[in-house]
Amino acid sequence: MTTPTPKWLVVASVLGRLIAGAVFIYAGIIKLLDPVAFAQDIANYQAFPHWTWNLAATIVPATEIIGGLALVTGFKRRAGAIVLGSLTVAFIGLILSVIIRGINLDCGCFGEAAEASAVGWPLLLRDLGLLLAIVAAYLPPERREP
Amino acid sequence: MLALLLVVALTVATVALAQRLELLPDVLAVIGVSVIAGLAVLVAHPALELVAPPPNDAEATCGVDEIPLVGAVVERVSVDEAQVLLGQPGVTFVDARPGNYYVAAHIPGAMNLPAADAEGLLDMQSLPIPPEGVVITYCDGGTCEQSEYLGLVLRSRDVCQQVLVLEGGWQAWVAAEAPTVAGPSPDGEVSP
Repeated sequence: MTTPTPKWLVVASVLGRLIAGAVFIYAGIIKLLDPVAFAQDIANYQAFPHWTWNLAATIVPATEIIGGLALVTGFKRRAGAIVLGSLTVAFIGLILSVIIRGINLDCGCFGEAAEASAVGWPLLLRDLGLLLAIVAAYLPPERREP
Repeated sequence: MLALLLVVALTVATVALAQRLELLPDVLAVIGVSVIAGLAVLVAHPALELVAPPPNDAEATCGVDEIPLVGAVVERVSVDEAQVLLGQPGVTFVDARPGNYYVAAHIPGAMNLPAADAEGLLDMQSLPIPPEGVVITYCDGGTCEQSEYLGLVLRSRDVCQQVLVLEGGWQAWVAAEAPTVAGPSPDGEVSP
């Protein structure tokens, strides 16, 4: 017999799922609506070869939407959390590289529709918060069909 | 290329973690569906006018290594001085920001040459920039390297030797309430 999940963890997990899920779904939809702008944002990071720009401009937002849906609906929740967690770690690494290289650019996190947010320490903190929400979303064990 | 290797390493680490947590099939399903959906959007995109890659491999033909970035500095020009130069013959403003920023608003008469694309522009001499004139490059903020980088590219390719970087960039220009126009063309009119 397994120990029941503590109530605080259940609450934290539901909050994490809804917050991280909604943020990723929103970010993904905004970017997919204007992949050209997002491809340009990726190019501005000056970190990836040009043949990856267009691919990443559609695959990254699609991953955000699918992963976000997994968190919000609870279907394949833990898999969604692992994929989004990995994506967020990549974003954090990219932000750090931009800060270190001293490039001044808009992150492109929410496409061009939203107010531009410069890549810097506040953005890094926001992504770390998002990572925390994803971890909380992951933690409770998944219900298995008997 | 290093960033790409790190992405590959992160993907391998993710798959290994999923395997350890006995979630590999689920994680692969999420990744697979995402990749297929992303590729479908890429193929179905109406005009497929995503960011065009440079005509040749920029790293091999005219990469950053050719440009004397180390120790090279492009002279600055203040917003006040730049406003005096605006519209004068032989003075070209070059907007180093991405195209969508340029369309939203830019300095009147400025041409758009995103710094990210400039490496791939092999035939820079054909740009409508008089070689004996003055080029003022600008990007979004005061500390951004894009205008400086673009200035060095223009200078190293003999497009124009007199290159200046707008101090404070676009943000300083707007803060000074200097003139701006919107639209895809230098003078701001919307093309049909």
